Amino acid sequence: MLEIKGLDSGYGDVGILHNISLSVSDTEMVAVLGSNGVGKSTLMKTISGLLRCTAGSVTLAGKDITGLPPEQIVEAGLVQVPEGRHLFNGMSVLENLLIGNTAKHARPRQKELMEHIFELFPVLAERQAQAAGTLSGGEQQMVAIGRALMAAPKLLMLDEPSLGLAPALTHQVFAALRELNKQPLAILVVEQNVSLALATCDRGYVIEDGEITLSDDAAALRQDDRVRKAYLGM
Amino acid sequence: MMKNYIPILGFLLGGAVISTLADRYWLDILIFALWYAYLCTTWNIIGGIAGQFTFAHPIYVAVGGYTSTLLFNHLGLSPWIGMFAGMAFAVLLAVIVGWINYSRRLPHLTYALITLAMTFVGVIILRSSQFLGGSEGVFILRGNDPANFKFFDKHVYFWIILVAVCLVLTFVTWLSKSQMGLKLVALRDNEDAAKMLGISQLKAVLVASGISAGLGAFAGTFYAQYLFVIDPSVAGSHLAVEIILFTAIGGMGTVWGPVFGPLALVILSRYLNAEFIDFKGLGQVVYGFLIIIVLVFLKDGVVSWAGKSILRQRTKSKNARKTQ
Amino acid sequence: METLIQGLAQGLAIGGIYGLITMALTIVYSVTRLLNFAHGDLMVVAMYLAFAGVNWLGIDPYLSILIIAPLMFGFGALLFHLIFARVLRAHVLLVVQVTLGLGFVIQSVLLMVFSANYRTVQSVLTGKRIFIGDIVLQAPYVVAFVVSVLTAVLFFWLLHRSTFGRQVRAVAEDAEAASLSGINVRWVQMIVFAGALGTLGVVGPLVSPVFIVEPTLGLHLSLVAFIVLILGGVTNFIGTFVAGIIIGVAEALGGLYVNPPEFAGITPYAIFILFLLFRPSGVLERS
Repeated sequence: MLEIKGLDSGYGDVGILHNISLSVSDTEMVAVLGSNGVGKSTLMKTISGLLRCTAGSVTLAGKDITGLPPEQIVEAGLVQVPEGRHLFNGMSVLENLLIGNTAKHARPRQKELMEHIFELFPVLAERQAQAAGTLSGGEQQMVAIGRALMAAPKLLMLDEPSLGLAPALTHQVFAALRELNKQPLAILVVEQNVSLALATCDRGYVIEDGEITLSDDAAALRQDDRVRKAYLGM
Repeated sequence: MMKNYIPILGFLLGGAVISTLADRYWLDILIFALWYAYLCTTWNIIGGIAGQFTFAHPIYVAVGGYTSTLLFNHLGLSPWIGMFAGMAFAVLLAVIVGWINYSRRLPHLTYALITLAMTFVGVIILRSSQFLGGSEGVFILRGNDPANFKFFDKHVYFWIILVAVCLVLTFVTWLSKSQMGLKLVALRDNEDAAKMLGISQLKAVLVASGISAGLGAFAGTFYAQYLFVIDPSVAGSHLAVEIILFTAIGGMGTVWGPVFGPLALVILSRYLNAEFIDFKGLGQVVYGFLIIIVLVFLKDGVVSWAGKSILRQRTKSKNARKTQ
Repeated sequence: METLIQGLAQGLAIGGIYGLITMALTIVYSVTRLLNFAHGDLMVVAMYLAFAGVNWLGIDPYLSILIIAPLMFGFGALLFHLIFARVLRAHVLLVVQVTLGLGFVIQSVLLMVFSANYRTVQSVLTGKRIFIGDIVLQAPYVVAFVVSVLTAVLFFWLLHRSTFGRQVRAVAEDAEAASLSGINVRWVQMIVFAGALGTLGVVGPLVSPVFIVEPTLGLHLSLVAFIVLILGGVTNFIGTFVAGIIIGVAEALGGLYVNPPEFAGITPYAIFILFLLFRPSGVLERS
């Protein structure tokens, strides 16, 4: 589904990512792991088109999407849930979902997509008319995921979905992602909560200082000494 | 340190040489170009270095010109002395406006709007006041009286404004390296960080705008003495826009940008207006377009762009030498 | 008493117009962060187009709206594409300078084409009156007020009830999140900018029969619009319209009661300064 080869990126003249290559197959849920400030968010922003890459290529379902602006990448089927959710707080839950339904290919399926989201997160159906800014953190994360799903993505990308959530809510969110993944929907998730990510995802990549230093199946990573020491505190 | 001041000396000497070559027609154009350069350089202190967008300079010019002229006409006080009264009034006005805005921590936008409103209010007051001569303004009897800032020889006016530009340039060069200048630049580039370091925005703005206004007021006295009249048109927002655009095209916050911009554009527009006399205002249209093009493509004005290009060339040749 | 009512009616009409121009300024600011000091100059362009329509082509200003509004819309799209799209990411002061430069060019061109003379525009309604009981109202003012209110309502309705309006609000609130949701932010910005100029293309001919126009009027109009924007609460559209009415009425009443009459022009600025002096917190809370 997603194929990234030799990606370099950064801000202005400051290079942050070097030679990143990774892939996500149609049915996979893949985690990108690493500590703060190693370039995970930069990677997300580069893939979703908010940042321009300086080298390398990004291919989605066989289509080259390197250097496209964000809205065309959404149109191609890759949708990102941004870090910190970035909801439109002044608008209602319903309006937030409708904004997510901007992509041309998703618009005819508006009703079906919306029903599916309300099935996945029943609480959103109850809160439709409420302003998004007044929801709890967990509910806001659901709206953010719902908004992304309204674009009928082929691949869903999440940047730190557990940020600011209580552990119970975090588990709920990841359970929902797992559910989505079974449909199937390819998922790429950046997460600091390494143990949870490795428990949920199929595979993982570890980024250190802007480079991928390790990649393997989730089970193998859980056993890896370096991962255990650096991220699992064992 | 001293080498920063050498270009100013060069400018002074170059100007003096040119003044001996120019005829009356060109001398008049050059005097106006330098007058704008003087105003832009004083505006640059508050607008460029301190980054506070102000439209108030026409008002300071009017305050300076009217004060010295009225003191001379009514009390016989020489404008050489009266100009200091005008400067003092301008400083006072600038401090009041700065205080209204920044003692309440209002945004930059309201400061720009208040100062812009001042120009409209100023013109209305000047036009409707009998004492200030209404729309006609206040006249000064022509004559040649050096003790009272009156000369028949245009060269003298040229030298006065040239020296004034050089003095302000010297001050700006010194300021941009001083403690005060660094504070102003810090406030401009990162307001929140500068405030956290304990730099008082109110104090910095009051000092910078006061100096800028006081120096600007001299341009009013000079204008009145050169033309033997001061009228409400100098107080209008049009002059403020010209000052801002001339400075912007030269390079805001740089030392030489505010000199280069007006010299180039005033001369260009005068030339165009004289050549194409049927299209009145063609000069303005052309330099208006030039300004937009420069701003859109060079962003920081000609002087900073040239500076960066030179810097890039140097680093390039250095790197080339290294690899050899 | 009768002059008071006349003055109030006139003030309401002018105020409605101020509200509408400011709404156009505000919506552009909220989706592009562009402080457009050429806003008033662009409105003056529309007024001169109405003047040219009457004097060169013999088209009534109210009819010419049908041509001028789309023309201004196209001009707006062009300006955005050629100039503003290139500088939106630059420092705010640079963008302000670009708009001042644009205003300067507009003034100079108008001066070249139309000279500095004060102009008035004749319309079918010039001199016509409307009687409501004992009250006599000048027809052009009534039309200006009604159309500005209707346009404001339409504007509001589009913003809150249409898909495009929702996208505009999304861009205004968080442009990055909007683009991640599939919205073409540049396109929305361009349409909004062009739409604002299209609005000026409606307002300009509408007020041309009641305003005296000259090439340098623009910066004054921009300033009034900015003052209304601050008083009304920056991105609050209803507040903007109300603030517009307040300034318009104050200006009209000032024209009746301020002595000497030349000082009446100071009224809006005086209100602005008083507001900043006594309710500075109002500005901060809102911006």
